[in-house]
Amino acid sequence: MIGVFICFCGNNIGGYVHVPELTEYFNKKEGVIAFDTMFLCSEIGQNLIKEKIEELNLDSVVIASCSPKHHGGIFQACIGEKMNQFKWEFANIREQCAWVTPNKEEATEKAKAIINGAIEKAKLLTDIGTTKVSVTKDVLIIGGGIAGMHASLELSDKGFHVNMVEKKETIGGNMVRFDRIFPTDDCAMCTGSPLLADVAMNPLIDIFSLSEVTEVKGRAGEYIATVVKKPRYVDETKCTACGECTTHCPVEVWSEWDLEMGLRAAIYKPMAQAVPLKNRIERDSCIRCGTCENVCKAGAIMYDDEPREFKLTVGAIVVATGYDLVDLSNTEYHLEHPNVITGLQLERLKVPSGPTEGEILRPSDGKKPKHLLFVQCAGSRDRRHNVYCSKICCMYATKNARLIKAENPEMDITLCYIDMRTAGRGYEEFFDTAREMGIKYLRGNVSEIVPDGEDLIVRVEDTFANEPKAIKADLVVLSTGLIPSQGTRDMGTIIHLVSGADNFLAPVHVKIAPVDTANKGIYIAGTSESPKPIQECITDAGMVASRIATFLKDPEIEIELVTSKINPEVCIKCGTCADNCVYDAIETTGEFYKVLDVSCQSCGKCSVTCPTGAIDLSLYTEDQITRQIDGILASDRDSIIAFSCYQCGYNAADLAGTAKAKISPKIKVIRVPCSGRVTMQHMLYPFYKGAKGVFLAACLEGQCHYIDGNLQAKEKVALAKKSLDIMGVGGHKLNLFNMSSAEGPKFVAAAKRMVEICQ
Amino acid sequence: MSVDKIKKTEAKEVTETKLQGSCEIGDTAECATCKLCASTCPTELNLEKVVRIARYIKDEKGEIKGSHRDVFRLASKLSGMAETQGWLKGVEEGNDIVYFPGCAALFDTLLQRDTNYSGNAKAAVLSLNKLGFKPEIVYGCCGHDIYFSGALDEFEVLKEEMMKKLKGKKIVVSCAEGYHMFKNIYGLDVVSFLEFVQQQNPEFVKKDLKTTYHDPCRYGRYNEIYDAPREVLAKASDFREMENVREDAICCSVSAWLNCNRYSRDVRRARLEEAKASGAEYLVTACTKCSIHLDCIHFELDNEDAKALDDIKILGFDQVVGYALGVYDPFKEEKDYDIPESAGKFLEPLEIKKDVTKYIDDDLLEQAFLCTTCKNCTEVCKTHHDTSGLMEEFRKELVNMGLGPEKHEKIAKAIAKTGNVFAEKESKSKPNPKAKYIYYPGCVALYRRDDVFNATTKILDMLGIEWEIPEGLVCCGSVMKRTGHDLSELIKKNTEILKDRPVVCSCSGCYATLKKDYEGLNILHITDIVKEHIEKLPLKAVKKKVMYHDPCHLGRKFGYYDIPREIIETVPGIELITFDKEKEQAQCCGAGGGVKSAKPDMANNLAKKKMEEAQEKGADMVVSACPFCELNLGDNSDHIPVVDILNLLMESMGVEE
Repeated sequence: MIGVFICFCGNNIGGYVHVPELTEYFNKKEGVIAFDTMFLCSEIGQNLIKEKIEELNLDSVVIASCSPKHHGGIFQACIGEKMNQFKWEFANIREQCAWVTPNKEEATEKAKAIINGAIEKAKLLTDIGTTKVSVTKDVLIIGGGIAGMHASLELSDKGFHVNMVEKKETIGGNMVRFDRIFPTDDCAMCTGSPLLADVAMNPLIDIFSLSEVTEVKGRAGEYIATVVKKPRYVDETKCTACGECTTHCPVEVWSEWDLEMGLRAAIYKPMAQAVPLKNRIERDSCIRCGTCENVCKAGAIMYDDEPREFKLTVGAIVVATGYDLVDLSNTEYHLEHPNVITGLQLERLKVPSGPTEGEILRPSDGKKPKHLLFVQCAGSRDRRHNVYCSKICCMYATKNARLIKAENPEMDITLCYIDMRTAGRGYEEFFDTAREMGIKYLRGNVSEIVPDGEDLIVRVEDTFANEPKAIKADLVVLSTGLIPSQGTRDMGTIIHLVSGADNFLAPVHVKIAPVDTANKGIYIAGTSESPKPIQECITDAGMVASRIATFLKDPEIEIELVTSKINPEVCIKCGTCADNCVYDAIETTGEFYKVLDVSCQSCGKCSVTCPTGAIDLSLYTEDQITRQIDGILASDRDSIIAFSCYQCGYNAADLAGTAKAKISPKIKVIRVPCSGRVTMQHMLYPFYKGAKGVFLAACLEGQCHYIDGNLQAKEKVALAKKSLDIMGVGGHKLNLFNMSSAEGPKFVAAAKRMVEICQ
Repeated sequence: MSVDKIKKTEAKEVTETKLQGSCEIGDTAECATCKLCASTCPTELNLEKVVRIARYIKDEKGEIKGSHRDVFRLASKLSGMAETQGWLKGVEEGNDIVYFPGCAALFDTLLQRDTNYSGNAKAAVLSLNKLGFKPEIVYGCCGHDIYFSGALDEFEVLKEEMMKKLKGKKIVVSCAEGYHMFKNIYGLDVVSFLEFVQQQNPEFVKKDLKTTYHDPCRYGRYNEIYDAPREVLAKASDFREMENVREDAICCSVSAWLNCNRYSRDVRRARLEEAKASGAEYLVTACTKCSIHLDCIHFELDNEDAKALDDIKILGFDQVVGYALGVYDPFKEEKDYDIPESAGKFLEPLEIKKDVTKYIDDDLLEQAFLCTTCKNCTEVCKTHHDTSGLMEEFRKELVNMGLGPEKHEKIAKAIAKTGNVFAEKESKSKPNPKAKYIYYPGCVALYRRDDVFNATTKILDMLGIEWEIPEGLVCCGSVMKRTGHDLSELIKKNTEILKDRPVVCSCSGCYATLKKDYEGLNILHITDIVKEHIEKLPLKAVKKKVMYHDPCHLGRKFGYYDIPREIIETVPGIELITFDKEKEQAQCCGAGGGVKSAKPDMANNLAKKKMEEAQEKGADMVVSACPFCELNLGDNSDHIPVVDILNLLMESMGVEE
């Protein structure tokens, strides 16, 4: 007996779908008993599920409610109290049915098909166990910015040993380059340097500067990270950072640390508070004159220093790799003009220890500007650059405007904006005082910055006055939008983290699991996730530390064995699965092939390639998926089956629902862990049962959570299309669409396209 | 939601897949319907038909799973519902004759292996062009795979569509499977490309290819086309034979995508080794499926054998012909399938009501109950297919439908009523609760061959082995199992009585059943006991020529070949002479599998044959170790006594029975 529990979700489902009709309908189905309730996730709903499992001795359960991404965990735990926690299947009738189908009759019919598919799959569900594996208590933090530093201190306070890997020569990140920070106008370094010192002095924190993580293998609780440390050409054990070498170095080049607002030598330390406090030779600018070697009393110069590779075994990883600024050179902003600078460059000018010792001097002639103009949303909220809002610019531009105005009341300061977004504790008040101080806020998006000798003409429409203006400025500061740093983007390929359409790393759930990733034991903090102010980075860091402490608190962690299984009776040991597994999870040395449960990442690619069908992924077995197709098509033969990867396509479909987009009721989503799990048989079988079309909603190319599942799917779809053409069914009725987890509209477009094709 | 906080059920280990020491034969081995066993079957039954209908029943239950996730059988079914598109380009078409190219293009795409099995069809048509024929090419699927795998309803749909295209036409087919289907199942006017080329006898430029020919079962044993390919290959290439050819050819061992397993893999390796041993570099065949399966070894990554056999390439017969006719290059890079985009068709799902009775006819019922479950076929089968197991399962289905032979029903009723197969009312229990052993004589020794019973009990007494026949024992159920009846009640009753002490059997049928179908019992055959204590018996010379008949249930099922022979040879003066076929190849007495009751003529014929051989060889006596064999052989022996091995010992000891 299968128990079907249908949720009204108040009006969320009940308003779009005739829930009582569904209950009545499924109660008539043999071997099924259906119940409905107002809120299935509530205590009343959960008690109903638990009661009925016990009372009716149910074999398995179907939960017809919201997306499993939402309350999947709650139902799993609830059902797990009474039976095996995997003996249930969900029917997503909210995001993927109620919310995308305006016609109530159609929505009800679609819900029937979705639930029927779930029932058929549920009939084949089997118990899935868990196992315990040991964990390493060490933590790897990638990125030593404000989020990384805070997380490392929090974790070391909790007794964990932390390895911090930082790409630059010093930890500290972007924050320690700032002058002051909003909304308190504290000195950034006053806040940052105690942190730097704490991290440097902490015996539980090992810092690897000039280092990058190049590979991560292993499993949750025992990741093995390969780290490459670039040569510093200065012996860290000997250098005392006395600075003799820098003083004598004949080289002068633009300083990266100062964002080319100042100069540095070839051997240097970026700041007095650098951690580790060691000098470094930057080899590209070094002329190898030997001066530093001669003056160094400690004998620390090592011209023959070489990169060093080593491995770190850690239980958990924090990715705090931060942001960069979007590159606006060669655009209408004319960033290449010396007197157009970015907000970050302005910070370096303002820092008392910076190249101008805190004086605002324009780069072209070193003169103090009279007319300073801030351009907001430079590269943000702009379809040509980034559609998203960079969140911090309204506040940091206002902060700098205020500080400059306070010191230079005579200076004319204008700030051109689209909207001022100053939500936050003390933020609006902060903005209010800025206007009182005489800073001019002009509502209008800057359309162009035209060089006028050393000055600039800024063209903008004043949308209050409804007139175009050309404002003359002698220094323009672009409040440049934030993008994920190169390091953040690299994490997508090195650790196979999923990123959003904006290329920032995506949490497993933006709302209810904001620092978790789909990889257990790997967390994201700070601006690698999205643009955010410092206090949010610190909040992230605290949460990550807490999540890790929870995760690593015991010597062993329990892992769910949703893994591939090999039937040794059918396996012919041909090696195809092992060759396909990017996680080395298939052991081929023994008498029988065996899946290493702790290494298996549950993508199911192996089961697609096995010629004999000896290997199958639990929870998504070949038969379970086939029966789900059967169930859907038995209810609605005209369906278009949408195999949706749980990392991206499924999420996109959910988002389409959240946005109340309209999707044809023909579209029926079948969840798969990865598009690479879909076999040729699954691509063709729906047609045999009368389906009008089939498509795969896969991750963007290069962003597959399982590395190459979507590329394998692409090849298979191409061949399956050919075979459909040979058979005369029509290859055009099978398609693959790539989309990120955030691209609801892409799912809508794919669905629309399929409906057009499969008329 | 905290992912970590999800409460888990009690840790329940379900990861470990149940591993057995080795593969249970019959679990994964499947019949390749290759007909290699046909010549060894004593009752000459049409196994292919039984297998096919049995598969129909299994398919209905969803138990038939082809390799490659069954995508090929699915494609075949889909082909029957849609309209196969043309995929051969660059050939001259006309209407001189019909050419059927088979499914190679579909295989090339669905296999995802960068293969070009389509080249065979291309080469065939180019060759036909060269020979002056412009064929009409009819695309489609012959349905071989779904037919042989038991998807018979789907096959009927497909067949109807194909008949519309092919009826009344003269068809040339390259592929062995298509040929067999069109010729024998569709009943069309069809000629194989092999014979077509042979008849045309064209001028070949003999190619320097070292070839050998692999007989596809569908051309070979099914249709006896042996000479044509050899004649052509000898003219077109440097041809040589392998060790096992023609009627004895080893099958590629995969048919209808059903039996890709370790056994078929071994067979494939053996076949390719034969090819290599012949000195050939190219194994040529005329069946796409043979090509695919044999070739598959080259796509296996973790296969040491594959590396050793890397230098044996698989080539289609038609490609060799095309090559030698100068119209086709088998070694070119590009593919020979050219798939146009199809406008497509919306498919109406088949409304199929599965009903096996449609396919059950008198012939099938006859065939199904002819098998003596002697396992001779399993012995010759390259994939060790458990035919008798299949027969028993299939009979169960028939019996459940009420289609079992009346005689069998009678026996089943007799057992239910009286506990023995002969409906005898007298209880023959000999209780002795203190006894260490239980003697389980079985129905035949108890009620029909008391000579065996007496000899056994006396020898047990002489050896000082305390035995009893407890009250309440019933028939072991051997006959029930063989004839497709339920024996669970018998198992329950007997197990209760037999469970604590060693059980000695006279009958090999009882022995096999108690050992295989019961659980947790300690079962011995009487020969085990006798062998152990033989020196305690005062054996005197018996000057006789004796032949030993291997009971199937003791021999082929459990490998008891030497123990009984050793016992016989311990008797002084005995000359043990042999049947032509002994041990693994021994011929069945004919009685097993319910044949003696349902098909007595067959049982008698087989026994007579055996006894005639004994007479010809001058035997004074035939000895066996199974009262049921002895009963049947004895019933059909005019002059030669057929006795149990224990009776022989009694004679040797000069003890009156």
